[in-house]
Amino acid sequence: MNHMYKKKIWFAALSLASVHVLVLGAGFFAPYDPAEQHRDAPFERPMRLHIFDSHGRFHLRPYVCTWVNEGNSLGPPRYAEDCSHTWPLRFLVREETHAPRAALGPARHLLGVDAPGRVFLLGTDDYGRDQLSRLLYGGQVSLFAGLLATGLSLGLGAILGCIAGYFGSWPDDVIMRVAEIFMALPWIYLLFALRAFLPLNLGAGQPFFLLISVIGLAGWARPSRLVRGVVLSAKQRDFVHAARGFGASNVYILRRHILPEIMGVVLTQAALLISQCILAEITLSFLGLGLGEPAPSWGNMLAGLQKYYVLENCWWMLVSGLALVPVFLLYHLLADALCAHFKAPGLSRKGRMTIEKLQVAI
Amino acid sequence: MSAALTMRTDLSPTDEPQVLLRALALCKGYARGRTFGRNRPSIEVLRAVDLKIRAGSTLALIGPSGSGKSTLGRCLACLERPDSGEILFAGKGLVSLTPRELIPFRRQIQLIFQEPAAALNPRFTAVEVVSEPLLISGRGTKKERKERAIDLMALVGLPAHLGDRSPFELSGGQRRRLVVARALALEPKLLILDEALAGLDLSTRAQISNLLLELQKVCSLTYLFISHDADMVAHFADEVAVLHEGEIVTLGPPRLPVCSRSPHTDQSPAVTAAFSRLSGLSRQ
Amino acid sequence: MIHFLAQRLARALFVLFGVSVLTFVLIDLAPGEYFQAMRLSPQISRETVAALRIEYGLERPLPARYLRWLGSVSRGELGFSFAYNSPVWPLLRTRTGNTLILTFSALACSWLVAIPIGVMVASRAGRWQDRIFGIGTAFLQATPDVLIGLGVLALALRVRWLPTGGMYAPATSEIEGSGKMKDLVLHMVLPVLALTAGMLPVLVRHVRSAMLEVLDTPFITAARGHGIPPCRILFGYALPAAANPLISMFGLSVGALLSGSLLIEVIMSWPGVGPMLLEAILQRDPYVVVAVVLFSTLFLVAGSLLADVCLYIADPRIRVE
Repeated sequence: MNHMYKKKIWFAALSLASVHVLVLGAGFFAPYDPAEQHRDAPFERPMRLHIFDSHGRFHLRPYVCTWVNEGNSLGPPRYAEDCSHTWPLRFLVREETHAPRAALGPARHLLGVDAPGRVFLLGTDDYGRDQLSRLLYGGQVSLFAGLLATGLSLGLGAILGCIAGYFGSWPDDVIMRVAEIFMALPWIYLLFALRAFLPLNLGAGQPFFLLISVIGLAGWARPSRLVRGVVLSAKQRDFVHAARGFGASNVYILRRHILPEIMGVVLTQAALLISQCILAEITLSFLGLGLGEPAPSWGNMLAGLQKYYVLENCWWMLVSGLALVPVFLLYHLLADALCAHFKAPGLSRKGRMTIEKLQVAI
Repeated sequence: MSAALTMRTDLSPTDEPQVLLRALALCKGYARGRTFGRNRPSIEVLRAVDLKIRAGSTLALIGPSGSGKSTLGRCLACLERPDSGEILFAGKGLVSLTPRELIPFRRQIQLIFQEPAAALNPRFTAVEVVSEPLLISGRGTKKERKERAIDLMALVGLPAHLGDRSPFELSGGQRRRLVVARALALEPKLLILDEALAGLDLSTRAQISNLLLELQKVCSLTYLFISHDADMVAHFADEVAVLHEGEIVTLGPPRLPVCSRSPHTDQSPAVTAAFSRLSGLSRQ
Repeated sequence: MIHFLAQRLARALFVLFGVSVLTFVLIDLAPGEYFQAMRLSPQISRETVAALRIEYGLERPLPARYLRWLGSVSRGELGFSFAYNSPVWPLLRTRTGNTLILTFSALACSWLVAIPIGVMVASRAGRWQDRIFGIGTAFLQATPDVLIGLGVLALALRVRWLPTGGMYAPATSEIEGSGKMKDLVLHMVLPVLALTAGMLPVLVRHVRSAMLEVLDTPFITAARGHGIPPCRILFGYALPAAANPLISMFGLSVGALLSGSLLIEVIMSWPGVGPMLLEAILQRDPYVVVAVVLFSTLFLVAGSLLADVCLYIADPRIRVE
């Protein structure tokens, strides 16, 4: 039985790692800069990759055509495909623009087409920005916001939970009362209250870390409760008493006996909390409280869909939301498998956490 | 035997055995829950307990469940502080010491827990378990600790190849031996054995009790043997104390034959004679 | 029972007080304030801004402002909104009602759907029904609420059966009675659908696992042995035994729905507290933010309290404690 869970853990972890590597390599994988606007091509549909041309000939190298706007300039754009000029796809394209990192040599992109052709594989938004590029760069923000915020939540929660559980008496009372206050707020409201604490406009860079801290702070309470529970039961084990009898310091006991017990809880929490933190970042960005323009995030890419016209006609704008589904599926799978893994024999009954009890999400 | 373990020769048989541990008027109560940091009125577990254990001897502490035997054991092992009273170990008062000052004394008094499975961390290997006290007190290099651990295991009758196993992979009797080995690592003077023979089948029980008796001679240990079963301690102990509802009721040499539980019953001379023969045999 | 209730109430009050302090401090320490825009505007003199600030009490230290706000709460005003130039409570009253209509309907809907599905899936654990629903709920759970809301809206726009925004059609002020009710229900369908879809996977999962634990127990096997029909066993015997974790879950689901409703209200232009909160944050209207956050906490705490009381009544073991 343990076998299956190990496989699931590896599968989920590797898939997630590759997604993260993909977005980290956005500079390479994305054909365009995320802020690059093409004002003459707002809300363009995704371009079709052709392998067979109109005469039925097979081309090894797929090509794209151009979209021509047939509507008038005042109304919504209506695009029709114009294949008079074809742009074959090129790989490992050298970047022509004035990149500041020109000192390192011109950057390369995985794919592109010769100028003045354009390749928008996932369409464009209202400013004509390539959605594929924004998806990849936005992934950096959203996915890593989730990871870093979770690190903060769990770190803080584990430390406070350990202190509360191990030392008992007044630190326990104080920490648990504060945790109760944090948990009394529905999580979005807590998030908003904390977010209101920051300035309204957040660009990339340092403010991004402030945003992460806010999301992280919103989520420390439940992990700390769980960790405290584990520490309380571990503290009363006889082998801890025995170690004390040998003159062990608190640091030794925490490190050698208690820490391994909480690892299981912490890791399983991590998998659930990461998806929760990504969701928090998405929600904030969607509502305009996350990173400001033009920095892309999977949340603010969805913000344009609040207009009915866009929602009805531009289905490709949903891509950032759709990209979240496999990511969340993988994280949930990982959480399930980790939970089952840590139900190993040898762990006391109290140490076992079911995924239901851990459903932190709320 | 390893050279590190020496036989104590400074106590010659003709010396009057000194009192190693003395408890005076120990009281201990437990609070029932906390309301906003203040303790609610407590349940008294120990009431003015007086005890005295002579060096090299075995004192048995018997009593029904709930009489406070384990609590007394833990207080004497300095795992808990009594509410009032004094504990004198080799003449030195322990109750008023700070935790830091208490450390060297705690090392000389070791408690062997009731449930060996609970007293061993399942994530450790057997060698790690036994060498843990040495690690904590910072003695020796890793290699030296491992060697000493294997020696200690040999002393209690555990073969070296069990060293890499987790306690979960050992049998009940082997686990008990492991707990004893760990307790001996720092060369304690007093071992408090809390129900050390409970839950074992007869043959294992005989083996462990023989082991304990042997160790007592070799390492010059003093035992406080806690049990709820008077028969078990009969051939083991030099003196028996009975604890009832937190107070010592009787204290004296064991007079129990195998058929009686109460120390007050009279027994027939034939039974006594048979019993002495049995005890004489088992002590060899 | 009284003692239990009193203890829980005292705790709830403490928590509400703590939340009010926390939120107040957070909002107060936030950079920027309502009068910032005014200050930057060259048309308004500094003295006017300063006078306004004194009038609204922004010059006083934090504890004084908090006490003043508490006084306002006791008078039933819940502070003052700078943007609307009115006490907060009248603004909040209708909005809170609207949010509650949505939240309660979604609560009822999601539980009424989740329980039968969960029970059914638990009774057929391991078989194809279980697997299908398992995959379905996994996908639904992995879909963010934003996407569910937008997706539902997109579908509605395509199909054009239902009104896609707001709470009432603009012309309803003339219609009274059942017509208005029907209009309200029509407008509620989409948001409630979105909220239920978001809540459902979690609830179904919990019901399923609670039922599975109970179905394994000897007393259910005995009931089966007595020949009691399976439907009765499931709903009459097993479900009540599995009630404990579900009642706790009920309390948590209130919180989840309050969070979810904020987003859905913004997406579907439902006039609840969600859009109001967002607006207040963007405008730096502090007392509105505090009031809204406090209200949401109040409902969550009330929901948990209700769950606790139900648990107390339902489970004799807790009474013995």
